[in-house]
Amino acid sequence: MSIIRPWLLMLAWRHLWSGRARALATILGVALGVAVFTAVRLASESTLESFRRSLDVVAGRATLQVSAGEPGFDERLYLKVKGASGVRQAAPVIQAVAPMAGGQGEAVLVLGVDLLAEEAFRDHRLAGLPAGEDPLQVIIRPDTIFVTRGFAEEHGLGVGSDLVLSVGPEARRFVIRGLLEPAGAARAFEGNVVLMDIATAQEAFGKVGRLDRIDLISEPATDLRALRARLAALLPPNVEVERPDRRNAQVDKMLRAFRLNLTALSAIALVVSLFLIYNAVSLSVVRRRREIGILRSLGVTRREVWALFAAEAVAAGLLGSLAGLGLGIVLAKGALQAVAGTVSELYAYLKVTSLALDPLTLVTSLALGMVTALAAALFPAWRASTIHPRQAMEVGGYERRAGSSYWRLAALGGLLLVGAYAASLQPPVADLPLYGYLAVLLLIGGVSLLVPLAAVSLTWLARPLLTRWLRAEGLLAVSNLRNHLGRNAVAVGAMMTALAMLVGLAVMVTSFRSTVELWVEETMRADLIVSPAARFTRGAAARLPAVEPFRVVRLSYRGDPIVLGSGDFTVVARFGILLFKGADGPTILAETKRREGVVVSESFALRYGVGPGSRLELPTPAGTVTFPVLGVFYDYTTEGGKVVMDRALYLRYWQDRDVTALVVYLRPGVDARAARARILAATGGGQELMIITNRDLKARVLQIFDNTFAITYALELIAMLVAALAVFHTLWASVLERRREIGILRAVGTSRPQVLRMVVNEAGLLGLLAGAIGVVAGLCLSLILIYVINKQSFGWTIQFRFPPSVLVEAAALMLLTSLVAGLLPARRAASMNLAEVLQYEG
Amino acid sequence: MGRTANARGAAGVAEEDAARQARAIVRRAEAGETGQGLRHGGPVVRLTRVTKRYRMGAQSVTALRGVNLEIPAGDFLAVVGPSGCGKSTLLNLIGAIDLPTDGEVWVDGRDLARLSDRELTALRRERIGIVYQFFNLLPHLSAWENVALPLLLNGLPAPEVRVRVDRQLEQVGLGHRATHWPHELSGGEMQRVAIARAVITAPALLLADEPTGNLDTQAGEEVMQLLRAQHAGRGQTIVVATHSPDVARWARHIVHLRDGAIAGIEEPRAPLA
Repeated sequence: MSIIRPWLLMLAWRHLWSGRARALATILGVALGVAVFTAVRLASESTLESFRRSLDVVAGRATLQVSAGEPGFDERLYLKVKGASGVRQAAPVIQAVAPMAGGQGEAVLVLGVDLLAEEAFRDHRLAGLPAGEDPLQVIIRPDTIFVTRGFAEEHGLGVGSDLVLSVGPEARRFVIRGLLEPAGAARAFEGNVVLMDIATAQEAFGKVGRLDRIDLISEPATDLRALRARLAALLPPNVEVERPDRRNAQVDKMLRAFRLNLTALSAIALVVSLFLIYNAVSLSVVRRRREIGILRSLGVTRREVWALFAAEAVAAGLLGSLAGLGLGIVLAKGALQAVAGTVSELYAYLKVTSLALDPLTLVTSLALGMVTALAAALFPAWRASTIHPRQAMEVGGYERRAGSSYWRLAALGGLLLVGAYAASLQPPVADLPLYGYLAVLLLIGGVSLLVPLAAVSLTWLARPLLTRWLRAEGLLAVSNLRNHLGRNAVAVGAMMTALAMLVGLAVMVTSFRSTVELWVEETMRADLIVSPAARFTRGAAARLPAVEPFRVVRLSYRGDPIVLGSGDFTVVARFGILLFKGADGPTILAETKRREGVVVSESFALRYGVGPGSRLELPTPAGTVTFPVLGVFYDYTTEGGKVVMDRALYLRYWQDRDVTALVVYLRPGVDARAARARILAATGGGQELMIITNRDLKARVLQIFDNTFAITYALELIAMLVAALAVFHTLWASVLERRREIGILRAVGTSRPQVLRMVVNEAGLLGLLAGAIGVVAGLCLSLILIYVINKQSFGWTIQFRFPPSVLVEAAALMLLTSLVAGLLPARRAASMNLAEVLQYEG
Repeated sequence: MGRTANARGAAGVAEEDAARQARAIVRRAEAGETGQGLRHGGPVVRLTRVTKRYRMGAQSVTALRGVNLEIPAGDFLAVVGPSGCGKSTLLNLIGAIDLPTDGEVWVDGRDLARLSDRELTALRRERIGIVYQFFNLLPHLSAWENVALPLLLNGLPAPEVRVRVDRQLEQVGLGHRATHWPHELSGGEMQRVAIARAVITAPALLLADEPTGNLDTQAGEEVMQLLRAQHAGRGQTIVVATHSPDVARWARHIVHLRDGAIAGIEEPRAPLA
């Protein structure tokens, strides 16, 4: 049964058509909201998908994988695994990410494999091997590598070309002896894959005698769980046996909070467009009051009236969403680089160039756009359905009713604010700050409901002032604001929401940045950082005053990726490079060294509920060891959590002599640059040795920080654009509705510029109100972001910092946006034909 | 519009009058606030062969056809005719709200066709006051603010605005209603506010389009008395458009308009004193 008569839809269409400009603004608002959401979702899905795909193709047909985090494990385990019952095939793997020398941050995934054992696991289609030579002899030559055809073409390389990779302390020169066709593992990381013989890889990466992974294929009838248990019994506790898809789950988990935050941010523009649609439908109801009354008196049912307006909103939602999808796909290409870049810098190296048009994302975006439209229309459509046939002849009832209920709305708003506060006190749900997001929504909703009261107060306060200052134009603007309270409050709500989000984020980011700066200043005291420092000759560096060999490895703890750091605690204590929560660093470090314990990062402590006094079980190659936890330190480098122990302890249990970086502290007065040159000379000047000075390192940290938040600002500015559309929409409707009034004004001698100024003043008042409320709401929001959402998502403590300049800038931006949005309606008002306007309705 | 047509106003007009083009009898204006800038004895308004056509969709409607009319300074003129005869169009042209399709309209010594929009606006603001049937007060400005509007538009200093608006409201007998909103006023009160607004700038010309059309007899009477007082006291030129012979009786001259043309001009046989 159709819930609406076709001729009613025709009527709806005619209304849309006759109000094209406003309908277009609504559709554009939805389109922008949907576009941003789509773009960010597509980019983050593509990133994740590319990650998963890379992991999948690298895993190939393996049914289980044996690994022990970054340090790897003894290669002798290979024979044990291979010989275990239920294992049909096994293949050893060395896997590493190696930066290209001079490749400007570009890196390749190096796979060291035993090509003879590979066939069952991965398809490697080699091409261009030199004719007439034994392929095996070519492969095992210690400088032979294979690169993908795509990679070779992209970098102008071919068979016989050299490729220099930064491995260990030096640049290693390899020779490309064949090309990989895009199949199997060669499709990982967009083809940035280098394949070499396992022995070559072991030698190059300083892993002689060790393996990163063993891939295995089980016998068809074997129960995987039983096999895992059998293997676990054979292997040391730090070695994990997992199904390959488990790694996908790990990646999902690692990126979960990041993606959720990004998604939440991308939905802001959509939330703002909610106000826009709400206003559009409300205005449509007000304007068509008479018509609805007539329709009702002709026998159209309430439900049909409701459906009529809902259908209009959904139609606008559909058109907007479709346009938004197109725009979103275009924007996603830009967002992809930003998202992939951030993931690379914060989590793991990743190369993504192609956008995957995930159908689920597209359908979700489309649905979300329409649901937003429908949700926004629910209330005004219901309002329309309650119009009595008798009301056909009345005018202005709606606005008046909305206008007198501002106390009730404010009371409801107050309740929502209390709810927001209560929600902000709740603990995370499954490690995610779901209540934090709820608090944000309640805050925005609550403040929006306070807008009408604030507007009334403003008009009351500003009326005498503006009349004095801006004369007639001021008086008219302020009285229009008061008179059309309902719609103006919604426009202010839209702008206020966008601004509050902008201010909230800006305050959070500013606070975060200053916290990180302080932390960097306190903890990054090293004068030089020498990396990569694997197998670095300590003899050369020993002559420097203080050198701390620092090792950072990625491990798995309770199935989550964490970072295990180790350094010389005497040096760490002397230079205070760990900043402890509420305690004296040197004492804790000395105690930790003495008691052979560990210190953990704030995020680790929060996530696993450990702290000083608790004990931590870590699987090591020598068996599971329990370490006392003696301190919690601030850390902003990783959200996964970090455990740090003294190097001696690490060496004892992990037997891993590699060094990630050498941290060098110079005597006071020693020039960092001269010292750098001396180190280079002492180490034989390995040209790819990276020696970063303290200043560069700090700058680099802050640069990564800024890059991370660049996309948030872009998202925010789009939300502001949607808010501007809401202002435009409101003023445009207002100008059209007040044609007659403007006509009277013109008849009594108001000049065109005065009419123009009147409307611009109205826009300014809306902007001023939104600016004032938005700044206050934004400050509250920043508290939720800092103390609830960020804390629960990433476990970072951010010191709140009040940035007056941000607030002033934001409020000024709001005012400017509003004024610009008001220009077109103002011009329209000023250019009305006087005689026609006066005849209208006459 | 909501008004019913009333053709009675034209009934008593002599046929021969309809044939001749009208010229209102010139009467010297008394010097007063209105007299400033006027050439004594010259017409405040002069229409020469004025035609006004509107486009309504594909059709063209002629609202006025070849009207010639002079209104001398200080006159009190009623334009009478049935609904749709062109009264409002005539007032719009005189009020510098609209421009003719053909012919010339001179107001206060200026050819409207030669004025820029800015000059037309200034003319309306400074020299012309208009009163409408539906009062056309701005609903969300108080009575006081409505009256103050033209002065504020002129950029007068606040103290002067206060003094003049207070005085004007007193003059129309609404000093006690200054802070009320239009919807709190009766029809008669609203129209008096509208008159106060129209005359606050002491315009040379006061136009009233069916000023009593929406009022009961008593309130209508009061409004006409107010207009009469305005005319007598300040010597303003007043043009009232109406379909009602009762209203027309207040005027010194009556112009009968029918189908967009002047059908005759008369002096009321028994003008109200």
